[in-house]
Amino acid sequence: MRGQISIEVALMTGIAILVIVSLVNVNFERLSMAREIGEAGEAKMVATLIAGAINKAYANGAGFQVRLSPEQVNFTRLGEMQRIEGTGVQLPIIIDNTIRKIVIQKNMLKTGGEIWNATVPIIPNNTLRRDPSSDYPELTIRNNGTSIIIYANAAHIDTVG
Amino acid sequence: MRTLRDSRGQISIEFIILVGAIMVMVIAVFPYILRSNELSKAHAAARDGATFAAGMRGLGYKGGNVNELPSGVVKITGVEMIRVGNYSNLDWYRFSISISAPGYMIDDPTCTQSSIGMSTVRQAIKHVCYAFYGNWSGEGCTSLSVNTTYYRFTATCNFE
Repeated sequence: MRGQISIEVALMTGIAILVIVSLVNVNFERLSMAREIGEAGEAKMVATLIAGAINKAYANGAGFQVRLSPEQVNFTRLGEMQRIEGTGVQLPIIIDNTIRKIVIQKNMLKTGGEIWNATVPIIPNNTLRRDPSSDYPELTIRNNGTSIIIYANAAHIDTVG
Repeated sequence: MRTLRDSRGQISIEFIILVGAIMVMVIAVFPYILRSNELSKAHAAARDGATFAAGMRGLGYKGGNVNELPSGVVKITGVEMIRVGNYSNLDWYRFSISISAPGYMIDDPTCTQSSIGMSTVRQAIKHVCYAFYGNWSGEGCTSLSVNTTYYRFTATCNFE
């Protein structure tokens, strides 16, 4: 009987390992995909928040300013590469004055794509970035009468055009 | 009536016969299990890829060479696997992906020519390729087909 038990154990362990390995593989693949879509959604939401703030500053005229707190726009978490294994949102987020859009770039190499991007339209075509200061901490958006100034670290937001 | 006094060998002989019979059966059906496994793996991967593309397109994301579209609700309502025929000794199956998308996102009425359709079909095929080769551009893969040991997989789509 001793031999019988050890053969049964070996067979069952083998089958269990096969089943677990196949399930883990499927599970990780789906987890990675869900993460990608979640990250992409968060990035789009951040771009929409920034676009809303820029449009507000533009529409309310000279002297108006609005601030998005670090809790609302968490650049550290947004561009984090380690926890999502080589993917993530590519920072800086670009504000393109030529096409009047905020451009977000998402690295899709982990799921077989190249760089995917999404845009959010903005009204003004004169948005400029300045380094944050004690008077204007990151991410303050201000209408100075001639331009819309966005106070942000160059590694987080950049303007072109 | 005779009683067997020594039955110590009975269990192990039964066990050996049973295991032997099971092994013969498993070996006999193994090729069918493999083929069936390939089909279900491909079907699941195609569904994942199509859903991924629909999600990303719905959020307004786009890859390099396709049109930009506004955001909207894009859903995969079905992924059917249809047998087409044979292709160089491989059984050829085609995934027919049904997509539900708002009219303003449909830039061509022919699904495979539209931006959403192209993204969906390509991602479905890419995910099938990854499921079999472990990378996104295996030697049996092109952007529109995947060849495996027994099968060839392609994909098409239609709008609902």
